[in-house]
Amino acid sequence: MYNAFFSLIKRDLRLAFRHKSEILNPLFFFVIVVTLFPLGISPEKQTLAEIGPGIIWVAALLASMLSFDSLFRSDFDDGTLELMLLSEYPLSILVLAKIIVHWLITGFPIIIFSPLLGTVMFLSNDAIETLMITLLLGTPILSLIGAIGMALVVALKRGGMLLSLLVLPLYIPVLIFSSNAVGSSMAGLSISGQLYFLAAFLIFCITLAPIATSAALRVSLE
Amino acid sequence: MIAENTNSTGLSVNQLTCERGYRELFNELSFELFPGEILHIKGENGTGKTSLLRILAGLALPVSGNVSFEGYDCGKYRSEYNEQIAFMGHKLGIKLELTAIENIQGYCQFSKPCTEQQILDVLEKVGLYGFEEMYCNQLSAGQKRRVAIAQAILSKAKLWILDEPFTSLDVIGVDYFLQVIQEHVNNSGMVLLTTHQDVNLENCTTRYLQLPSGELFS
Amino acid sequence: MNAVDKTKIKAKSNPVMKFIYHFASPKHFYRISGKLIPWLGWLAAILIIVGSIDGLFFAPVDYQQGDSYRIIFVHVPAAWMSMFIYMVMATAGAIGLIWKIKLADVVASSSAPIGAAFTFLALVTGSIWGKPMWGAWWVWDARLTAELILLFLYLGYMALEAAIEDPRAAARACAILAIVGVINIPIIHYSVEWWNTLHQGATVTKFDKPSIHVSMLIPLLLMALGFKLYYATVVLVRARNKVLYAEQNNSWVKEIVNQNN
Repeated sequence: MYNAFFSLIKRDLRLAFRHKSEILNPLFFFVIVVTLFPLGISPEKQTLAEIGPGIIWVAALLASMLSFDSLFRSDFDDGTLELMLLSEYPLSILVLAKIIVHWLITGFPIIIFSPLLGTVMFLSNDAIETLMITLLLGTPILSLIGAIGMALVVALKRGGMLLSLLVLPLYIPVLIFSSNAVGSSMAGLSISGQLYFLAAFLIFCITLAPIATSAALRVSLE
Repeated sequence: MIAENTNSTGLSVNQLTCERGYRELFNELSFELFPGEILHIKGENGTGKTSLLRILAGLALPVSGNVSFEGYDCGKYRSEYNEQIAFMGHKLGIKLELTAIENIQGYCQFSKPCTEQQILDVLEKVGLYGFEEMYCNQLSAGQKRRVAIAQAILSKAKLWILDEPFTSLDVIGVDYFLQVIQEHVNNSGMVLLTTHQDVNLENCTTRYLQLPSGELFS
Repeated sequence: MNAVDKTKIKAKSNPVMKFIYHFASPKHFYRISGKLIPWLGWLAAILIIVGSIDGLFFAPVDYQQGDSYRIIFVHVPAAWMSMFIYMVMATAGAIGLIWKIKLADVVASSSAPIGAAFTFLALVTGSIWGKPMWGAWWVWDARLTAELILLFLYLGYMALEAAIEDPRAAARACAILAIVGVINIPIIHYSVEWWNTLHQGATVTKFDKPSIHVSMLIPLLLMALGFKLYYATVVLVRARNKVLYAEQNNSWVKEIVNQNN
């Protein structure tokens, strides 16, 4: 079973690297969206530092949202999902492997680039550090919850819009606690509460989301 | 206690009913399939051939009825059942961005582990010698089909469920695939298939199931 | 022995299951619900009328908010119903997924638009109430925000149901969504409330009444019960329609259709 899990991760990573745009596009999107706000609101340091945490997090949310097509869509189109369902290994384990790959190719690059955007938005060094920690805890949650939604809409022709309707409301707790943690560390306040919440929510999602996702996949492929 | 099904060697289908939307495709379909047999499912378009195969593979749920394999309910013992079957649907499960070998390696990781030498041998057998390292988007539809055949052979499954398996194969490919099927059946394997071609194989029992009536004949 | 027979035997051995399978068969549901609907409907109408009169004319005036508080007799029961119906949808969805009882799927999908309507009503009444209290039609109050998110969840549910063509697949997909939603609702509520206390500590928390007077509580409870019965009535009417449509190929439906022609 571990063998199947790790070889699926390896295979999906190999696929992603043959399709580099899958990695780069969400990242470009993330950077561009954040860039739009200073242009649309004001380049003033005070304003940007105040709204920065929220903007970076909303942009991360949307970038993760738009990258879900790469999670199951191509596997659905070419029939690999059917083979996954017919595997003798538990579907939720295989699904977890795919979610991990999705996070590695979409969430992880965002974390790497976030200090740059934090600097552009005039966040303090402490706040940038917190931003990276919240992204580290939060983006896997986005991948896990989004996978449930993607599994529900994968068989539909125009699922993209529907996916955001289903998934964005469920992202709200992550958004609230993450951007608040970054804001609080700007103000020099303690952020352990928010981080504990995010960590707990992450563990909760790792436990349950793969099960819900595999149930949804079975329904979608019927 | 309720006695389990009497057929403890093969596949046993009990009073399967299937609907699409609110339209009934077939009603209370029952049949059995024993090792060394081929069941050829016939019927016009839209009579539920594909739906039946997907139910038998465990991909779709029937409205009522059940399927058991070697006396065990397939819905309850899903992973054990999955070990015993190989399914080839309309979509082959082949990644275009991977080579033939990588594709089969991936498939083997979902089911039975196999060595690279085994894969090379089987690829040569299905007539893909020289194409092993080629990306599948450079292969023709028939060649991709051959990759899928190689996967079925390597799965070592007892029951093959094949939905229109001869699509896009040339005459040689069809003949070759029939030979593979015959070999599988003679090794006490079982094959369920739908096709518009005639399947005439020596030395194996071929039976027919007509949809939507569910009538069986040989 | 096949699965259908096994279920029947299991159902017969246990009186509770026997009753459930009996009532849940579409034919019996159609018959029994037809008898229940008038009773429930009239009772709901009486309770809502009595509750409104009591609430609007006889309940005492609030010493802080004057007469404008009287909208709670609609707002609070509607907000309760919006949560309650989502719970019903998730529970019914789970029952449909696990025991494959078609009626449960029908109840879940019939409930969604009613629940969305109650959520919308709670939002509108909340915002109307907010106008005299806060001087604005909308304030990012914790409960109003949570209610708005609940409305999004309802809309997502209905959009998913509309997008999937096969009714059985739609029911199962929606059941999964509702269960995921119901697990998330407490988390969302908690986070919204936490967010609200940080940002808006100064606003009046309008729902936290230290103690509500009995003369206000009675009409409130009457209205709440009336709304519940109204929901029961409407959900049965909708479910009856859906059952009839889903069973259109069965003989008992054809008989009913022939009788009415």
